[in-house]
Amino acid sequence: MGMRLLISSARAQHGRGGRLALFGAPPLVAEVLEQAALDQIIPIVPTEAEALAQMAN
Amino acid sequence: MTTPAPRVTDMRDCALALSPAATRHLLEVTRALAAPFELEAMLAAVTGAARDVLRAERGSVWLHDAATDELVLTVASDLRGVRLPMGTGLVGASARHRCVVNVPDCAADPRFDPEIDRLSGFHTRCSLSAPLIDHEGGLVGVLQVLNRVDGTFGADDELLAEALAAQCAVALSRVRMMEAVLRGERLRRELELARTVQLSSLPAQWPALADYDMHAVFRPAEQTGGDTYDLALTSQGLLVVLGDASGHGIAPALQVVQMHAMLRMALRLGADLADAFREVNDQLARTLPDGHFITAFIGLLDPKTHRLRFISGGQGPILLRRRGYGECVVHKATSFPMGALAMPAVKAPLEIAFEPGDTLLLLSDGLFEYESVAGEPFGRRRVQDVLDAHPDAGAAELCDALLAAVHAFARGAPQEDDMTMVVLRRQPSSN
Repeated sequence: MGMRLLISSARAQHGRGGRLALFGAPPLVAEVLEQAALDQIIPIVPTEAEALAQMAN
Repeated sequence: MTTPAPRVTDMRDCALALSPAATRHLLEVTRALAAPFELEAMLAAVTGAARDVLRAERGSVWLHDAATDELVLTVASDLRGVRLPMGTGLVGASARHRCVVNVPDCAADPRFDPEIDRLSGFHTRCSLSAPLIDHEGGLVGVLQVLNRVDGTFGADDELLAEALAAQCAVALSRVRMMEAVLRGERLRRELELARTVQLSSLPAQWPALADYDMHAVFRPAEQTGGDTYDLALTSQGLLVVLGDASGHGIAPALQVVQMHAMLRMALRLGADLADAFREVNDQLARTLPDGHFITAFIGLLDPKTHRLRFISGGQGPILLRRRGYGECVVHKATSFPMGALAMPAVKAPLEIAFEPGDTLLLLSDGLFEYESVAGEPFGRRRVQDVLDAHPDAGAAELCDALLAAVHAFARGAPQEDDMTMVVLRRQPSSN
């Protein structure tokens, strides 16, 4: 359910030429997303500052 | 004003007050109500009969919407869909107090709600309302007739209305029960179809490969969850697949069949693993509904070099137990779930060198996430515990042990998602 929403959002953003980053995820959630390599389309970072830095790259 | 009328159960009690023609008409309607009518037609027949037999200008049926506790005008000569909160108006009074309400002069009755007349343009002089109560005592609705053509409604009319209402309520209950049965039947058939489609994507038999012991288990949930697997010998080696399409029901079942077909075709046409993966991914990205995806481990084992190359789109954790004992090496997915986005490039496949006794375990998340009655998931730790309890075990033995452990852990908690296992072991004795 959550995965679908994330993927749907990533798709929409990519379609617009935009990017998505995820910050502040609890460790268990981050682990599940990393196991599924979702961080390859949505970088998972610990803080908002790092998320914004991702956007700049 | 009326006191609650005695319940009439025998139509013969009031038949003497009717003309032979009216009696015949009423009995015909009663017989017709026993037939499996479609709801609207049945209600129309009832209101028509009520109008005829009670000599009213208009008749209507209001059905009780239990969710909102409103009465909904369902059959009427013109207006439809008007909603009245329970207790409002004369029909509301009849419903609330579950009695016949006979009002010879509506304008003089404080309960009368003139709003409906305003909407329809009809002028209501007198009205007779009877509640529709089913055999379990539940309120189904109200039958109402308006404006007796030759005066007002009398005591005999009250009895008649009650009798008619009783017949109508029973018929309504039956129609509703049948609708529920049909809905259940349709759902059951769709699930059956989904199951058939899903099973059709599985290999009919596993290849016999010298030096290798393989086993797979497929346990779909009641609402099929889109799991699939493959074990097949191709020109490029042993194809090993574990897939899981998001969602439940017929759609993911169809999606994994498509994925299977595309993958097999790509490989047969000589595409290498990375290209095949990318092509299938991109095609899925074009065709899957928004947000839907398929997690898939796709591997090719070269039986001569004993090297397994794989790409996993979102499928993990991938467990490798070296030489039959110890903590598994855990690989996470190498790529994001398939069908999510088109891939401009795909990372090179990862490679595992199979030593004698090495066991690869691919388990779908229906297993890791199987929740006990307490809501706790089975988890990776328990999987490792099972493996530790079965050192040097063959593929089939490990599958059985894992299934038994999940079953014991669940303690009757239902299986919410498909569980699929693919276990591949290089024989310890092989060179």
